[in-house]
Amino acid sequence: MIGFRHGVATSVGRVRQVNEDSYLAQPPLYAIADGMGGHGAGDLASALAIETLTGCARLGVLSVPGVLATLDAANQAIAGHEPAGMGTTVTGLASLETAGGDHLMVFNVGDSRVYRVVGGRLDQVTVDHSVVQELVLAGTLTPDQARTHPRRNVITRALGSDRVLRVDHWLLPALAGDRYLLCSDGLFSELAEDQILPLLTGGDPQQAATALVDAANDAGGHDNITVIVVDIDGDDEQAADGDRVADGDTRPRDQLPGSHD
Amino acid sequence: MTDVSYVPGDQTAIVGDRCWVLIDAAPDSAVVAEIWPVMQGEPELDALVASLLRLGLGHAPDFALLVATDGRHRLICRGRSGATLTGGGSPGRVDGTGLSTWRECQVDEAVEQVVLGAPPAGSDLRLPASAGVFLARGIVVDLAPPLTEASGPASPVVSSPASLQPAVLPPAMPALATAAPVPPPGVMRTGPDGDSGTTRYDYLFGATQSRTVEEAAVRPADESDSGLPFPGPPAQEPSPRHARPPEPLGPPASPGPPRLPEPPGPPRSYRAPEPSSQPESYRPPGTPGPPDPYRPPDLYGPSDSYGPSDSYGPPGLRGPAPGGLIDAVPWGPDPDDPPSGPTRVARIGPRLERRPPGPPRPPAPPRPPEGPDAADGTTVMRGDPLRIASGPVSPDRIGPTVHALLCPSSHVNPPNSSACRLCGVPLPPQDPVTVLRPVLGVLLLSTGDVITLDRGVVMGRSPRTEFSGGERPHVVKLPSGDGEVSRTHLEVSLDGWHVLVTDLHSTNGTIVVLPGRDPERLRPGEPTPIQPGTLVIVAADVDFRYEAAE
Repeated sequence: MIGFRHGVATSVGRVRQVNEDSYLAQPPLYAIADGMGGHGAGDLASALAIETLTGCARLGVLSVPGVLATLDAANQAIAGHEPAGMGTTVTGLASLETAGGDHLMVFNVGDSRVYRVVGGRLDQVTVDHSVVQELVLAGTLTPDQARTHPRRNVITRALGSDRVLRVDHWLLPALAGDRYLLCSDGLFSELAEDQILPLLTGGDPQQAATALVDAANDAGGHDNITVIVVDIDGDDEQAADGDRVADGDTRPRDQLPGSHD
Repeated sequence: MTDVSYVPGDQTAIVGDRCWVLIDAAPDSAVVAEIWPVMQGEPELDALVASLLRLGLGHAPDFALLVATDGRHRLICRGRSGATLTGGGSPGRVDGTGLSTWRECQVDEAVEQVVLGAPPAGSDLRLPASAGVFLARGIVVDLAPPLTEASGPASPVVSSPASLQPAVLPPAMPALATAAPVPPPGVMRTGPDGDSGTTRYDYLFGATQSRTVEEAAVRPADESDSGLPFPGPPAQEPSPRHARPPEPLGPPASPGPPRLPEPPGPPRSYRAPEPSSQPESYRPPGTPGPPDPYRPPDLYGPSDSYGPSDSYGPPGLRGPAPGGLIDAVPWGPDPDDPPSGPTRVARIGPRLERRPPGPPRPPAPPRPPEGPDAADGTTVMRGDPLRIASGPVSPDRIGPTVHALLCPSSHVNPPNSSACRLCGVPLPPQDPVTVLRPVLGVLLLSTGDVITLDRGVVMGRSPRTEFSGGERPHVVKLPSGDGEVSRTHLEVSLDGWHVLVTDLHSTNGTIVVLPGRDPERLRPGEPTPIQPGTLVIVAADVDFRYEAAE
């Protein structure tokens, strides 16, 4: 079986008066919501999203349809709540069993992100729903230009803004030894990926989370910053399913007893 | 009296008796023609701003506007156009750089000269100007002797210690307001009902109608009070799919101080502090808190929130005007884009892009950046926050799009369909629309699990999980099938409306059974289209079926 260790840090930053980020760190579900709307609407929207997800996390056993239905419920809750016009991003990591093994479901709406540390580099799993991301996909901007682009804050999808919510999600095997980073845009708009990586990989999850938020504040702290670092633990890497051949060679079928292929 | 001169240049100076504008536009542009008559006589600030913003915030030119109204001078600067103030108080430079709206301030009486446009240099050629339109890069307005009417006790602004009132942004842009200097209490002109003295212009955009206004700014949170119909379900009615109705939010779970990371520990959740804990910079002292914690102070209350000290705008223009201007709202459907039935949008996942009749065309290219929206990094939503209630909007372009035909129930179908793939109803004649690709179906695994085909799937006993470029697929770890399954065994990919399966040179191969056909072994590395109902056999006890459920 796999397990999780996590660290969390959040900061209002150095410019804003209100922290409109909310988060959930309750295995098997992790999530960050970055609210928008101002005048108290943003933090309400993100809190509503997290509130709804917390109910889902308490169920303990997650499924892809279950998480998607929960996000749909959060969308309806925010859209139907006063004041009208508020919204929130939401991104997260849910642990679930599928195909007989441990998997992770990464989900995203908006421009908060989930990264995975793999092979000593940072692999961004989510794709931002933002104007600058569209420009990056169109080849107009490089990712680094997007990070500082004046319109980097304009998102194209949010909970609470579309009656029919379209959530991006990705299934990934849960591999012991993997480390994931969930963050609001207050982190990556201050720090480039090559600044994030050494901080993320140094120390335990809590140390990494704290170091990242501190660094984003040192770099300006123009926005709220929230970071969750999650480690996937297991008894033995790749042995989670007890399959002796999991890492070995595939057995040709004609060597299998009873095979007539 | 005022003496006015101009510095010749390549922008347009418009000089009136009580109003001066330097605008980064050609002298023969429509905006100049429009504002000229508005500037005659007793100019109304609201009408001036409405003229300058007739194209919407996204396209309005940079400008600097100085207007004498009711004995005071107000200055409004948008974009790089700005003004330099000299004389008493603390002189300085004012501009709208970094703001997606504009900067507005009251000019202190002690200010003797305002230069609209580039900061003046001693060597600049200065020519006298009377009313007219000039090619200029600066307008020099000498205000001395100071206006005498302005010093009455009814004008709290004269107590301002600075030469300028701190930037006053329309409350329609709360996000930007956070970036502006916050005035000390007592400085802002305050109406009896707590009006902060700021002015809303956004209702004026109704006449010009532009969604880009919303693109550039955050709408006031309770603007729906202005009578905008919200055709959704009753606000508090929980959705049938609502797994758990939202509970009233209690006090913040952990509103802790900034920069204090939470200690590691057991599960917890964080809620941002309640709105009531917001700094009340914009609430004048003594104003009772709002009755509803989610309703901000009366910054943008009903039309009567313009206090008597507010000097500009005839009564008919204050707040949502009866008839005329408020007929259209910035976030309403585009008048050039007549709404199709709202159910078309509500019933299908992807949003629709209306297309004129004709052959399919690729999605429109992304729009170029329009302004320094990110002045303070505040996240804003593209388009109208109320698009739930409005007609079709431009599709979000993250993710592949396909051309589609709609059945009467608004299911999306491949362009060559004659009947709906989901409900079987014959498709009426129509032009295809471009939509984000819908979920093309599901894979029903022999383990009992369901994989959604919203993207491709890579499967194997220990599949590779690194991807670069292109769309990242789902990665599904299959049971080992007693070692028969290769690490990265096969891929299911989506191409337009097609579902293809590719054996990734697995040791034991992959077998597909198309409906009504004999089992076939896939050629390694060769994408093969499969139909709904196809069984894909990975190993003796590991297989999946592709079905077209949505």
